Amino acid sequence: MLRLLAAFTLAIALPALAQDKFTLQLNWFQLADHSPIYIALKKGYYKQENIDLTVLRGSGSADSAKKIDLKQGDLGISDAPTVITAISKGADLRIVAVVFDKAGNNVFFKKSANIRGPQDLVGKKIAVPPADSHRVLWPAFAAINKLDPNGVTLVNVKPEGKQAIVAAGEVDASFDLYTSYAIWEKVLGKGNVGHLLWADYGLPIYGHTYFVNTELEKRNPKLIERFLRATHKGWRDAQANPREAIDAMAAVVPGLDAEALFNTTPQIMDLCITERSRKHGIGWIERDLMQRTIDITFAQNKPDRPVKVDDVFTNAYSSKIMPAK
Amino acid sequence: MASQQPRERGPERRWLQAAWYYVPSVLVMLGLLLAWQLAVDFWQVKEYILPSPWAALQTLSKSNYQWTANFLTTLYAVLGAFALSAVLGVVLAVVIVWNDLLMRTIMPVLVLFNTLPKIALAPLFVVWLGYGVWPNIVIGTTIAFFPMVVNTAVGLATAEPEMLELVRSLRASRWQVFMKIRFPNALPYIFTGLKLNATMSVIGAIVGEFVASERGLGALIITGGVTLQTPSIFASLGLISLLGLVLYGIVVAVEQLVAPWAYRADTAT
Repeated sequence: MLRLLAAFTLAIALPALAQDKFTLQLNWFQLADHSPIYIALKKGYYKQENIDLTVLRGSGSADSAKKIDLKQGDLGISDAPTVITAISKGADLRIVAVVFDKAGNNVFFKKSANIRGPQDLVGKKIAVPPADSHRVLWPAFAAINKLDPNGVTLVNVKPEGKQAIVAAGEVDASFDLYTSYAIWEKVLGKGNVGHLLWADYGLPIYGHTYFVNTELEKRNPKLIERFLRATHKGWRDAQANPREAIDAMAAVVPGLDAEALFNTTPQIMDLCITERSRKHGIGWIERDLMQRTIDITFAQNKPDRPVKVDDVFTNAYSSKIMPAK
Repeated sequence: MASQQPRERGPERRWLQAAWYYVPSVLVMLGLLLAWQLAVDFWQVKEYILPSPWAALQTLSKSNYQWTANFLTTLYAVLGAFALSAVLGVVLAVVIVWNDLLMRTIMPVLVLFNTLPKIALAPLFVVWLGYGVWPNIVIGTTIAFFPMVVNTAVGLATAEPEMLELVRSLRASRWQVFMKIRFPNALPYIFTGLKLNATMSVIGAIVGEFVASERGLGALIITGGVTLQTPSIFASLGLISLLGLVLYGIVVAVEQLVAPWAYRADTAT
């Protein structure tokens, strides 16, 4: 009888011990800004939070937003403007933290192109990788800098072809995240890369964010908090030791150029660790900046339905993990 | 007067017959569209996930997509690839069949080239040739010309041996043999090649636009995907299908005029 009772108790206790399965949908294939997730995996931070994590590589922000709306994953990484656009089209999504406190939206060109400010972009041909938000943000960036948005020719190009098309001289520049700096240096040569970070020219908005389906918030809000805590511990450790984080990722993801990725880590930490994250913890969201991101997202095209800033994001699951230094 | 009536009815009846022939396929298509519309309405699928056919159709009236300009860009690339593949395919086939040594040297190279996945090569074309209508025509041609070569070559090579012997015994020149026996024999094969070419040129042009483009229906699909304007993707797909269908129809119509003996309605669709 006693043995039966013990078995019964164990049967009840076991599911509680079982780890929560959790699927993270990346925005893109693994880049340096995903390395904190891998150091967190290596150090067992997800296990400590009772999370059995699966990481899926992505194929663009729009695709991950769709997948989380369709509940094909638990938490996604996408550009804030893409998530906001999806919400305006009826997606049940909420942003729960930011990856970057400062958007990495940026334009790269050859130093010899003589581009010194946004006004020098007028009349140029610019390759725009379609799977990111530069195309949506460009009109707003142009307006802030008093430029005609149609003053440049935007050329659709496959994301992996944007460096080659600039190097070949087919276009003058390419919109690409600042975090790809090292890859540009590899293609154009050290000392030959010119760039303008949009945030330095009046476009402070949110870039990459973590977001969930609102159904997960109702079902298991603590799980979101646990995931963010483990992930942000990974960011803290990656900030202290970027080499270790990149190596942890390269050890499990085949085909990565670890050296090139390591070289982009200073830029990545610049965008993630700011005064705001030092004050409130990594990933914390500021309401005013989110409102501004919404305004800029819909500056050209009206949303299908109105989007309220307090519906778009929440700090309720904030990890409060402080940066390393 | 009375004797003219049957002559007037003739073409009318032919048209009626042709129209009647396509009634079942049109009904199936309309039925599928209706089922799609009802399913989207019934399950209330979000428009950005799967729009209804009606929503896609409505997109065509929105001017901000610049449908005409984008359609024309793709049309030029498709027609260019179609024409270039047709000419290149027939010329290569003639050269191959004309000379056995050339057959043995060129054919393996063509087969090897055809096994390369062109979609993987397309980004390199952009680096080599730049982007725009011309590179897209080249990409389309690399995809579409192979079935033209193979079909034409088979048609030229498989003329009836008895016929060939007959005209040779009549001392026909090589050129006469080619023009009077081989080429007419190859016509049905050439039209089969052209039909394949019609659909593959469309695919090729869109592949080119996916890789790099300023405008075109392929560019609209890419932009629609990123900005979650899914109805515009389906509207573009509709136009692309229509373009392929019309081009195919033109080939079939020309075939009926040029080689009516080769045309069989039951294999034309």
